[in-house]
Amino acid sequence: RGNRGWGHAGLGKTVRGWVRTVPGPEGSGAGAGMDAGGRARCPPVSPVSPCPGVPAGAGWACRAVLADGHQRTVRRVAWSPCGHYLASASFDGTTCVWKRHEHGFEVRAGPAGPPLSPGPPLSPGPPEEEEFECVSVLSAHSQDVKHVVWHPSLQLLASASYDDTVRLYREDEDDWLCCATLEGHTSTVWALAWERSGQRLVSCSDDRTLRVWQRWDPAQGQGSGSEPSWKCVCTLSGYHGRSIYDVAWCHLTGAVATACGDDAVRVFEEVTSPSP
Amino acid sequence: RFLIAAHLSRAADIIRTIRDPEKPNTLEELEVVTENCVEVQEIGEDEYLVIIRFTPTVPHCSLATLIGLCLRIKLQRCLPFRHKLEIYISEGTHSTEEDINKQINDKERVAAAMENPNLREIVEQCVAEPD
Repeated sequence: RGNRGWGHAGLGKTVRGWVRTVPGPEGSGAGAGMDAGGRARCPPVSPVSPCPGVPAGAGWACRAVLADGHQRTVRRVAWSPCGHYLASASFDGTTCVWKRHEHGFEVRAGPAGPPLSPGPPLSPGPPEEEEFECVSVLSAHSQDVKHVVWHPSLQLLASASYDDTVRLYREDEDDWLCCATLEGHTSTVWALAWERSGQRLVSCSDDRTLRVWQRWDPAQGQGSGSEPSWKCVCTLSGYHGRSIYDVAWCHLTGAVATACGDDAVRVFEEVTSPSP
Repeated sequence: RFLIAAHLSRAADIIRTIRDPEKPNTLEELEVVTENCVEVQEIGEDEYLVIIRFTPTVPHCSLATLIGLCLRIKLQRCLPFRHKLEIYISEGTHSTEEDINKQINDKERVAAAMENPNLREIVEQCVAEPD
């Protein structure tokens, strides 16, 4: 997801960034001709049968291979809502934040540019620097990081780990710091999902429970430097027979769905008690 | 129930011949597993939960984890019925039993361990059927 491309995690230790090689509907000529700097270049992916309306020869090109961030399998990647940051979570216990550097566009006269570019009139020139820079390696978790997900609108990152905790990170000047640790689960936290408003987060765990965490802002007059805190406002136990591996919070209806090791999918809805 | 008893017996047969990673004996000979250490519960239509509680011979953490891994791999491969599997160190036999139990029941960690060629080699040798 993100308006320009998507990343994928692989069995190896690399994170790869891919960009569409045909202009999007906005005619931006996304990413043609960019190189990933000194890294190995991936061959272009041959297009699968094109969708109607998509020009023939449309495909995806690998724009970046981020091989030095993690020491073990990269398990999950997530784009920030603004599209400038990419977060990756690994078995090595770290969460990396990568910043995407934008490049200028130049007019290209004459025939089509490099082979990967279908030759739109405006294409970016070769970059002088790498497209993605690792801006932080977050080692707050003590064990494998199972999940990483961005807040729906803020530059706030959440991660879930084998160490039974959820951690939140935000940017502070030039670095990223862990601004909250959510404790309560008694086993591995496998996944997280944000409510549309970003005021609440739900986590699912090997302990067979779901926990909903609510943001509490510091009281007025407590000083501008206070961090919001997060409290567990609900624990759903007794519904799941085995580990809960994934959770999703619908931004349209507010329903929460879970994926469980007992082979069932469950859907939960918030019940508001009738006013007296 | 007859089926549960049959499944239990099948599970016990599968694990009794697993070789210890260190010693030239089977887990049954070393009393790491016994018929009593297997429990089978029906959890759905034709689906059963198999629980193994094993007693490691030495308190060494990595060997206990390795035995747990061998148990899981062989049962996963050989149990002929639809099942879910839980493997635990029998209570009170190990100082870090919670840590070990958590590892051997984490699907990803098990998969990651089997990607390690050294570990995989040991497991394959331990679970290979006797000639």
